[in-house]
Amino acid sequence: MEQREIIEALIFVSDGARTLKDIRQVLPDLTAQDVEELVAELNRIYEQSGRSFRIIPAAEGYLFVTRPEYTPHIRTLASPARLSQAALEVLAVIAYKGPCTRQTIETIRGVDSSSALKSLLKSELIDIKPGKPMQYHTTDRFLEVFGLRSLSELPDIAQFEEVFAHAPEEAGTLDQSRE
Amino acid sequence: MMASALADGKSMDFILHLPRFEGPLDLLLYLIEKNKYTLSDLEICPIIDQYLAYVARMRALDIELAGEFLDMASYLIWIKSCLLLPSLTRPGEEGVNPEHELKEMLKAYLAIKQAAYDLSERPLLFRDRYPRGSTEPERTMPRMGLGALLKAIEAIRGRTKHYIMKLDETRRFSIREMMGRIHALLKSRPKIELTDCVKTGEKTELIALFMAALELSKSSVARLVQHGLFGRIILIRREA
Repeated sequence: MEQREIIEALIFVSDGARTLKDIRQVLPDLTAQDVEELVAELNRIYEQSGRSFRIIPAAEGYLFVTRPEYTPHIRTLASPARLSQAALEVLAVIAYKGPCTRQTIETIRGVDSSSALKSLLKSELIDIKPGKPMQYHTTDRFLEVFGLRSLSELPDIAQFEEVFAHAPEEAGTLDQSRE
Repeated sequence: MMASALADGKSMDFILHLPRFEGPLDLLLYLIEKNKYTLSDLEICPIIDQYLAYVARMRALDIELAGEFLDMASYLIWIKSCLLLPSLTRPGEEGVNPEHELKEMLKAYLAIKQAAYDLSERPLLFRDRYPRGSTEPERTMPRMGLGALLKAIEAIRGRTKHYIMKLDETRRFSIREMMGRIHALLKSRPKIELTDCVKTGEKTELIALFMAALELSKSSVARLVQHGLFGRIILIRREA
């Protein structure tokens, strides 16, 4: 029995993400680096044999997920999660500026954000840090859902300050309609 | 989405077909982009005019705008007045630069809007890829049998037993029946105490008896006498 397959089994039996800590509890000789390499090996095997799933890093661990091309088939049985534009913006503020107060969020967005906060709390993507004033922060679930190991993996926000959101071809259509 | 909304519009009318803006900053960014400005190369006055025109038009059409849009409108009018009027700050004095302030606000919001877009472009769990267990109906509920449920109910029962008040079914006593009872007693004796008629002592019986005594007094069958507050109530038979 190989260590690689033990890791596979451990990730497989987990409902959510299997933490690196869990894996190293079972295989104490392995470093984080070792685990990552073995997971990469597993993914190569899945790829070569054309499997419909891969192991992705999620929060402080690993998670089995299906490949995006199978999504249309899975959707028949599992309803997709939706995030409104408002919720996404609030989430972005909290991910980049958090922990932060509701005041901070609303100052940046220039608009009331209470209902978006409520729905994000309900979906457990954010949580409240105890204390006064109340501060919001992203959760491990947020990292899991967005496929991040940690918040530091997010791209630098400074690069977004000058670019407009719309793709070039859309901007072209905008110009035409102005005439 | 925005492009298709604009495609068939003409000059001023098209703006009404636009999707909802997330807020006044979102609208401002849209106008800046529409005028082919960038944030570093921005002429603020035409943008302010277009913003105010949009808000005025929405109000003229009775379309409800969030309060934030109106707050921003007054803020923009103030900025414009600052730009048009000669500055009141003396040379050397540090004055507020409202235009700069607005640009910083827009910059911060634009960055967040872009970051939000960037987040939504990531492969999302439950949208683009699914973890194991995604098709379970209630993912958050622990899987347990009926036995666990019954046990839980039993536990709740045990905990709350002492606090549940058992309410007896209230017995009903008719006033007519009580009148009959008093009347029968008055036939054998000329003078009775109201409490002599009590059998069970239930509250409803006492009330009915009291009402019956009042009825009898009203129909001149008996006279009601009470010496002092909370004193005994005496019924005296009246001869026809």
